[in-house]
Amino acid sequence: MNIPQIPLDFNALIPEITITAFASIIFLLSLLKINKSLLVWTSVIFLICLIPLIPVFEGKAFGEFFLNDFLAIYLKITVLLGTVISLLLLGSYIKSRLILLKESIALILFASLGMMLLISARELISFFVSLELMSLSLYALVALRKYDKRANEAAIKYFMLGGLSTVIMLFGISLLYGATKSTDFIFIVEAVSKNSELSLAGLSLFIVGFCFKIALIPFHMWSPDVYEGAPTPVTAFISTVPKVAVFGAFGRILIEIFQNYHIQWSSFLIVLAVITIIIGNLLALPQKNIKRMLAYSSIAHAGYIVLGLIAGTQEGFNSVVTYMLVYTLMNIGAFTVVIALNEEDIENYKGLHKFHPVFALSMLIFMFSLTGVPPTAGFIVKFNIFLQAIKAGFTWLVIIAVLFTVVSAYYYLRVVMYMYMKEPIKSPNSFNHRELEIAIMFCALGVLILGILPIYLI
Amino acid sequence: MINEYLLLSATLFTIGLIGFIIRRDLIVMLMCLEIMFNAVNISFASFSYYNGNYTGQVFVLFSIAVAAAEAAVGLAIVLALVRITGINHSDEITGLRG
Repeated sequence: MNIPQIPLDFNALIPEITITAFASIIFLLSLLKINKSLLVWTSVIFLICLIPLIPVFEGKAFGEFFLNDFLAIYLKITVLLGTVISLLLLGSYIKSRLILLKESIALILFASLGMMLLISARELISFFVSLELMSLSLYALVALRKYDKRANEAAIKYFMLGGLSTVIMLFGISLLYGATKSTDFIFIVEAVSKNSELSLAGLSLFIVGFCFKIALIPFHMWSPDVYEGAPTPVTAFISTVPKVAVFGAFGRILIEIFQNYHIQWSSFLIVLAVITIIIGNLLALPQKNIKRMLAYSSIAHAGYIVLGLIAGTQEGFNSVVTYMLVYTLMNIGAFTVVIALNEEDIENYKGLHKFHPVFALSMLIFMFSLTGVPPTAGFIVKFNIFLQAIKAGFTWLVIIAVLFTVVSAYYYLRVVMYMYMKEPIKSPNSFNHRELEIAIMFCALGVLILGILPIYLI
Repeated sequence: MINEYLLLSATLFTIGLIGFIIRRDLIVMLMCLEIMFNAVNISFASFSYYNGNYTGQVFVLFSIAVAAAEAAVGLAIVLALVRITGINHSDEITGLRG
């Protein structure tokens, strides 16, 4: 038995090390009697300062175990943007005393640290540990309101199904290790075709874990309940940012390492994508709670995004990465409006433009973008993903997806119709915090500008 | 030799999975998760012996640590739920539906 020598160069890891130190300090400070808004704003400013520094640390660390290349940087910036907006939302929630636990700030920071490590991990042990760092922080975040019955119920459902998916995925990883004698992705690429039965078994269990995390039907059972029960800033966080990391990390593994098995895994994902797009959109139609409606809509969106992976090309994966950026902005934006109005029932959105014209207008932008109407960014990225799928020869799949995009217009535009064309029932008792205004302006302008100037496409 | 160990691992995993699906007690479901984690650990250790490198055994150490953290978070959530609602059965958790 030989122990490989690993060089100790950790320059590319410096952003992650900084976040680790910062999150630990925030965690300790949150035990003292310090103003919570101060902690939130410190974290926000810290992360904003960190975002431009990430491209500086391009490169590899610990030999080949940690890779910070262009795609990883793109995904990490998306993750950090989503984290910053979620922290602002959490700050507004803390101000209105809906969440009293200060640990939430450190938990969100640790979760985003796990996601950043997950995106860069090129080795199965660090991949698994960072995935768990992310998941465990998310379970705790869902259970933040510990005296709330629904939050605990959501947390237990999330934990049980998430734990099951983790174990199944870990079993898949162990079979992959058995087949390839290594946990290093570079060796796995070389060895994966030699022991094909065992690697295929491992790969299938691995994909099951992936489908749980992104909530493809039939592995979606946790997602609507968790989205409804969790505090809304946490819902905004879990519905977007972890998906960026999971799509980035798993998509990369599927496309770069299991390229030889593209037919096998894509045929599995095609079936799930079709079911997800059809059933996810149909289940969203009758929803009366807007958080639940957005949960089913994000399930359907996961179905569209998987089309980019099914294409199996590098361009297909690039279209997934750009989709994640826009998806993060528009979905967090929609949840921000829900928080600002403090109203979950869609019926109560009637006549909203008379009371809150800015909120109504930004909700309109987010709903158009989620549907995929030009000139919003949602149109361009969706178009891009469908284009890549057609180039790879999956035209019939794209036809189904486009048809059900039309179906999805019904439930997105119903919200817009309620806001602008119905008579108001009552004035919602909304919050008017500066954090919320900044978050809404940022997301709405982002969706519009990225829609008019698609310079971010890669 | 490797086949027997893998058979043991797969059997334990199946026992845990079946227990997780059919038992309704939340604590027992947590225990079934632990059984599955340990089944995976056996599989890692036996593959490590078979492949002739230490990576699998290192993975077992990480996996044990993660399983402990997961059990801690899970027990905390179960305790919080039981304290508020008195529910300890997954069948009775029906507050969120639709």
